[in-house]
Amino acid sequence: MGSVTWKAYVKYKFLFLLLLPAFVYMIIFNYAPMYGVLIAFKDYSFTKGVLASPWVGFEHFHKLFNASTNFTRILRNTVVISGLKLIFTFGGAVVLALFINEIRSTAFKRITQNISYLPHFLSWVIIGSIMMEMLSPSSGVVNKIIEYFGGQPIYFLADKYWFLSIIVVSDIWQSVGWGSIIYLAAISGIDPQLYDSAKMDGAGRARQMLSITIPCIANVIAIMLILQVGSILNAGFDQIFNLYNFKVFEVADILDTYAYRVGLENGNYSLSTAVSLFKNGIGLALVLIANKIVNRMGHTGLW
Amino acid sequence: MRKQPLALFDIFNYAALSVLSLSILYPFVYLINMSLSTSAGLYSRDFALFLWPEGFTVEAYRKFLSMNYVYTGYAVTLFRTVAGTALSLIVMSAAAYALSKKYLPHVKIYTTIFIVTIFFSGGLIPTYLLMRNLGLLDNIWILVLGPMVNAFYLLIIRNFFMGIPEELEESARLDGAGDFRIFTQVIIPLSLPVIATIGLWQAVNHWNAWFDSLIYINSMDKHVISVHIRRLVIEQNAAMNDQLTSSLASVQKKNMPSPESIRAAAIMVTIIPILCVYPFIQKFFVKGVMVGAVKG
Repeated sequence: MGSVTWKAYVKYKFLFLLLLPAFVYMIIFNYAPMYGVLIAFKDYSFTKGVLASPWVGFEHFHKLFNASTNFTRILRNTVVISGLKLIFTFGGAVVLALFINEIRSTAFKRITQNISYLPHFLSWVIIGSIMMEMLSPSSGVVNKIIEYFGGQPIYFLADKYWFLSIIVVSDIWQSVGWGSIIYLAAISGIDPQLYDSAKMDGAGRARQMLSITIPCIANVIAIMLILQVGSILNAGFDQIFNLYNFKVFEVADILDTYAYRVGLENGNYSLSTAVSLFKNGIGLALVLIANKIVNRMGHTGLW
Repeated sequence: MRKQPLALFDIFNYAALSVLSLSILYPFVYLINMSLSTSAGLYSRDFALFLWPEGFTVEAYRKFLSMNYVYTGYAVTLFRTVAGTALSLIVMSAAAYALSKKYLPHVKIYTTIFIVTIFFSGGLIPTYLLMRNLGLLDNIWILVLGPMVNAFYLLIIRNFFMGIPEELEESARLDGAGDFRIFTQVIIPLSLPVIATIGLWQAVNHWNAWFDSLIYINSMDKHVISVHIRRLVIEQNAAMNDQLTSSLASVQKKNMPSPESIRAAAIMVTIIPILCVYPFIQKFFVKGVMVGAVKG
């Protein structure tokens, strides 16, 4: 048996040679950190290394779920921010696709699509910088407009009542156009005969949208929705990290930003890893469940 | 009769989409106006700037480009984009080709090993500790190596390879081509669409990447440009601000740009390359969304 396999390996040595670099890379850069997750159950010290650091069991998790770390607040913020994005950005993308589909002028359609995809190509450092400049209480255009109408300048990014609105608006600005692509593609796949026969039956455009377009893309919407719910613990590190500050931690601090501060700013490697492990573990379970549901519905999900 | 409410809907629809487009474009217009305004113009209007610049000067751009680390920042960003994308494509397409062969021994196990990494990762600190143990901290190659193999992209390339008929390879083999020639002269040329798409994804990822530079790099001259922009605009870093206020001090004498203009210019300089290539790459990305939607 062993020699047969060995012969096969020799026979396909060229293919294995091609596989080798990526394989070795994966083992080092992706699997070694998975082993490093052990430090969530240890008291990690750099001089001892992962293996020799003493085991502490679930102590870091106890510390984490302890009220003093504000863990409920962090978890709540994560879910609230994800949920808001699910309602506004995800829902907005569906509505946008339906609206774009109703446009008859192809030139207007194309221009709208091209403009709406653009912000997807900018990083959150850039978008965060743009927000900082536009929302600045002393020089930003938004506050200048407020002042023009006689209002007082608002420090949007340092105000916990405004911060979430800024998060949602900037997320829509960046992603709504890009998110609509998949629904537009689904709409373009609808059989035109359906619309023709509906027209013969006297259905207007509103009727056609409600009775043909929406039911035909409902599957795609459902799949995207379930997958989105599966990643609810990803509230968007890049965005929050580039927009938040300590004044808005109460509403803005999410699992990922907390793990960053605890780990890289305070040097509490074990506790930070426990946060990541909690997030990745729950996240993985949610994705698996979501995928199962999609498969149940008779679709190919992620696999 | 039935036409009436529909026409109303059309008007509303065109208006709503126009408002969306304008609100996506306006921040760029605003930044351009801010970056081109003279400080005298800005202070005279108390920064109330809406549709056009107050005065006209390119001094803000000149000042930004003369700031410390701007050139090294762009050099590092360009380096990681070019080297990172090239290396990533070579390594990933080679492995994707091997994994596309169903007869390869244990191919399912190898494929699964790649797939697992899409759904589970060690997380921030274990990865950071690995990089430290590998001695890669403060080394610009970490920016190239960190995102080199992406299992999701690799599977997309593999799926494309799987669609290439086996007969093409067999006839090339009959013509006397060896394994290496078949891969480089039959498979790769046929797969240029998918390789170009993945290459563009990786290039944009590299151009925009900042977090790895922020946490792994210590030396100022090895950071990517985004980290410097972050320090300048978001952190309003003291050392950066000193460079800005030194220009503010000379405002009264000469027509020097205000810090707001310089920050706007900094953002614009980083956006402009993306705006320039955007019309050409956009189509690839839109197609890519569909490629990504086809799972295997």
